[in-house]
Amino acid sequence: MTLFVLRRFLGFAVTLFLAALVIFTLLDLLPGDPAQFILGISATPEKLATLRDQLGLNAPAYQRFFGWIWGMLHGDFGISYTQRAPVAGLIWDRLGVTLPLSLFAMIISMAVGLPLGIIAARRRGKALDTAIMVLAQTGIAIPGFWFGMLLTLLFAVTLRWLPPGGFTPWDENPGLAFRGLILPSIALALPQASILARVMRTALVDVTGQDFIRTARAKGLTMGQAVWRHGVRNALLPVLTILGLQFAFLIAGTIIVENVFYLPGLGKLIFTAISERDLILVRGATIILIIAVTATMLVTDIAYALVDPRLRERGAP
Amino acid sequence: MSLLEVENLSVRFGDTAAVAGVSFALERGERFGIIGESGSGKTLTALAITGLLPEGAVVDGAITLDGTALPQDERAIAKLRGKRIGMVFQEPMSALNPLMRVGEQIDEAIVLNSLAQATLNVNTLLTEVGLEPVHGQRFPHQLSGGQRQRVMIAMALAGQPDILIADEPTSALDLVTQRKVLDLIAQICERRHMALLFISHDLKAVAALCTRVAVMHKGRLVETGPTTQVFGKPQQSYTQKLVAASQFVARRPDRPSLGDTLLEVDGVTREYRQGGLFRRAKALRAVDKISFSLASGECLALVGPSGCGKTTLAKIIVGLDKSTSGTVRLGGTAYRGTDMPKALRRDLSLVFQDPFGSFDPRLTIAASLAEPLRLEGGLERLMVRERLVEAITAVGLDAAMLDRYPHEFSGGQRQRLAIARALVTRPKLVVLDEPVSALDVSVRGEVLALLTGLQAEFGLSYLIISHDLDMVRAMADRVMVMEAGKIVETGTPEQIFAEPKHRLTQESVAARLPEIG
Amino acid sequence: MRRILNHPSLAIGLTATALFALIGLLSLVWTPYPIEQIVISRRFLGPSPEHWLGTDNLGRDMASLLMAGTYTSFLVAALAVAIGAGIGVPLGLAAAAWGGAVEWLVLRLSDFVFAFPAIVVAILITALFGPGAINAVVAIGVFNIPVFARVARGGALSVATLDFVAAGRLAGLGNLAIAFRHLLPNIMSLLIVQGTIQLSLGILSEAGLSYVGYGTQPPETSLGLMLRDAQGVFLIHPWLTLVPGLCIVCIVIALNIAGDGLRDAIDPRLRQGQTNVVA
Repeated sequence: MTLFVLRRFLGFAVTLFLAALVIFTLLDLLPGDPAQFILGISATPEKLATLRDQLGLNAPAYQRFFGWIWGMLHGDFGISYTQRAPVAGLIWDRLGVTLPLSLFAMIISMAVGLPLGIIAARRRGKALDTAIMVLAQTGIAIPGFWFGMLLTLLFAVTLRWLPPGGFTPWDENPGLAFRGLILPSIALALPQASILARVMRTALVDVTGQDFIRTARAKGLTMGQAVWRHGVRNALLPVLTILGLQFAFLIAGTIIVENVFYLPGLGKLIFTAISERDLILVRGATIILIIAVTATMLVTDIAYALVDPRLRERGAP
Repeated sequence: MSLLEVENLSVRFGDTAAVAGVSFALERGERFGIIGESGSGKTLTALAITGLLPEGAVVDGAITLDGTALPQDERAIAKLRGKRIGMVFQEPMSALNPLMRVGEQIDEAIVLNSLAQATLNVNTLLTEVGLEPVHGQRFPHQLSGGQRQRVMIAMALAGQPDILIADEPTSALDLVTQRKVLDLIAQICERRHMALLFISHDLKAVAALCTRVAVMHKGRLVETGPTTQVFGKPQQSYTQKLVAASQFVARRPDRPSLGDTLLEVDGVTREYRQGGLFRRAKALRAVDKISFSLASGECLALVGPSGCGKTTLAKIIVGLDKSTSGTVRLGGTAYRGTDMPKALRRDLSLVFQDPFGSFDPRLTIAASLAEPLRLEGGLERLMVRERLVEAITAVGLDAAMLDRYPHEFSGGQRQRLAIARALVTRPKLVVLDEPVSALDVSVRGEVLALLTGLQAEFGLSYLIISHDLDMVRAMADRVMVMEAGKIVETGTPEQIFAEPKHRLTQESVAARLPEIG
Repeated sequence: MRRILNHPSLAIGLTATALFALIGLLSLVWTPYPIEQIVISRRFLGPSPEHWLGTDNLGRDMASLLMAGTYTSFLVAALAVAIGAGIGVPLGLAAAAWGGAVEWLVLRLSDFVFAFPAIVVAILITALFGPGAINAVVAIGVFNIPVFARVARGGALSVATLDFVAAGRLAGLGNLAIAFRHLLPNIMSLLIVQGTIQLSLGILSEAGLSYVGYGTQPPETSLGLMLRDAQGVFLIHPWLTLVPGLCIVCIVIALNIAGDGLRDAIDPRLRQGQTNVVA
């Protein structure tokens, strides 16, 4: 098992390294002089040169690249051109919105989607199953951010229960901060929950047809007991795979949903950074996103191996 | 009053009746066998008795256990399962939960069915079926096929049932293990005074174990009676056909004399490197310095348990795999396997084991049969068609079949088509990998007769790979026994059977079930 | 084609999808009003005989925008599927047919690309080249590549172990011939089903990307861009967001139903194993 984890971790590190390489190459290829950008058009050539030196822009590419990597490993993501503040700090602030949002969305989608999928599988072919599946079919067709708009119309404008947007920082008022995240989390959770419900149902139905369920019943378990005790664990395997993949989409969705609710999250940061050509910020934020996605896949892989003993010996699939 | 009485049982799926009008009785401690080929409805009958039929099945008829009718309610019948009736299924790999240790699975069976005076525990059961306590800690994929089947038997016994239903319990196992498991079942039934309902397609296995037998065909009970009577003097024509098919006719004593050496295998070895990052893992030798020769017109059989390397060796000879060292010579030309020259590939053909995977479902039979003719480069369409017709008529099928698709044919027909494909390049040597083991018993005889006929007609040489000693005895001039990559014994079938010298040969010969009738 | 009629969901889904696609294509030659026509005095109008779906915040005719937007959304999604399948399927087939180092490379590459969600790729491209509809195509397309590679490889592997492939090798067919003659035709149905899934996902992705400004740019329009335009005013004029949103939902449902129906019609056994590439 340890060998398995080590191999996976190694793969994770390599992927990250390559991703960083790609990002660095792409963004550093860009024409335009950051120093000029920061100091403005009227800056003198000497000032520009000094600033470039300070920013380390004169060093050869590979030195800058490894300097960046080294810095990141120490938590230093550079200084933003436009905001004159450490990128790490800026990202950290925004993560205070994006991360809880993703987490809430994930929790809600699992809490709603998985049980619905199990119920639909147990009542296969009956009215409840069809109803749940129709709901799920609709749910995956609804863009999360559009659902956010609809929720705002209903809950913020018509019912006035929740705020239509904006965010109060956690340290100011945790209660209000939380309230600000409710609608966006639900908006994000809808398509995810629908997918989870469908996958859970399919996995459970497949498992029910497996031979070992029949063996369990031959021992004296009823169908329901057999599915619960033996089936669910086996059905979790495909569900785990999906969960990992879905997180990548969840991240993308989070960034977009923030726009609907005017949340000061990572999304806004990136979008502003791009329009202002603050490439250090773009670089830092992008690599954070990729780290989040890759780390999730790593965790999913390991969780998969924990559940399925057959994978532990084989190592790589 | 009988222990189990089945009266006029029928199982329907929609409009089709998979089982109809089946009646029989099982007494306490009796060993009763049900014989049938695929599609006979024998498994469905067993599932109906235990209430495990798949969804959509409509059951009719009366089943009584000790006089009381079988309950309809899932909860009630679940209580009966395990306590009064234990079941052992065919595919032990898929029948065990892959995520749970086997000990836990056995324990569950005990806990579910524990009686007040329960003194059973997992280890006792494991010992009874011939396993060790350490096996209980393993996961199913870490055990061998025979071990998994023993685990299934242990689970079935946990509730101390009165009846044990065993549905093809040994079909997925090799010869020696098969015998061991059958003996185990017999011993356990004896010791516990358990009734046995033994379901199989293997007449010999049923004959060895059961005192009374029933024959099923297309969902109906064809004949019932004491084993010796049904197999000795079968009344119905279907039964007669089955009994005849399972007694292989010995080879004709007068066979054409053998010619020159056609195939020479010289010190062939196939190693697999294992291990990932660190190369310290030992290499696995699937084939270990094998040497033998095959004469023109000879029928040579290669037997051995699964994993002995016979399939790997066959693949090297045919050119699908490459030897790590050593060479193969066909008609004088040497090669190591995948480097076999195209011109030589024409002289060699392979017939696969599974008729259902041998043909691309998207191509017509003609397209599939014509594929090997690419090796003869430059054949005109007319010539190709002629050869196809020649091949397909040689195997006793109709030329009109060339334009149809594989799914329209039965297993036996497909195997004939596979043989036709093997013949289309007019080869010298045909390698056959378990040519009849995937076919129904009644069809096997025909295919073997066809093979013998073709050998005489076209002067072919055969290399047959099998684990079925009886089939080999009927077909082969010479037998080679393989174990763990090495050839451990060679001789004519008569020699091997009469005086087996190597331990494996002795075990295998001893594991053969007695002839019936 | 008889099979289509036997499966009502397939028939309904295909018909609905075709309908939307036709409406989209129609917009190339005719729309009630030109989509660039801005008439501020006639903005925020409700549905009327002159403007069947009303007008938006710039007085543009909603029905025309919807038609053109449908076309763009379909186009982007379809091109992205073409990229994904065009590159991914050969890669997956190669991995299955050749195995060994080729397979290892393809797997590592697809793992790598999976780490880049479409939004991230769109961000990078926009940073490099500025915004445009082509960004969305490339971003979604790039993410489609490993999806198709995985599916093609998975399907091809289960076919490759069947005996008739070995029979082909015995007949002297090389890896390339095996891939084209035996592997590809037998995974076609799998690929078609996956194609419809990725198409519906593509429409959703395009909507998201255009909404944040990284996809289609004015004066062209797409369903996502319409939602972007509605962002500032939807609290007061919800109609502007309801129309394009509902359109997206209907198209995606139609595609999904068609995909499910296709899967059942071609091979009900395909239902299992579709777990790794949903959404």
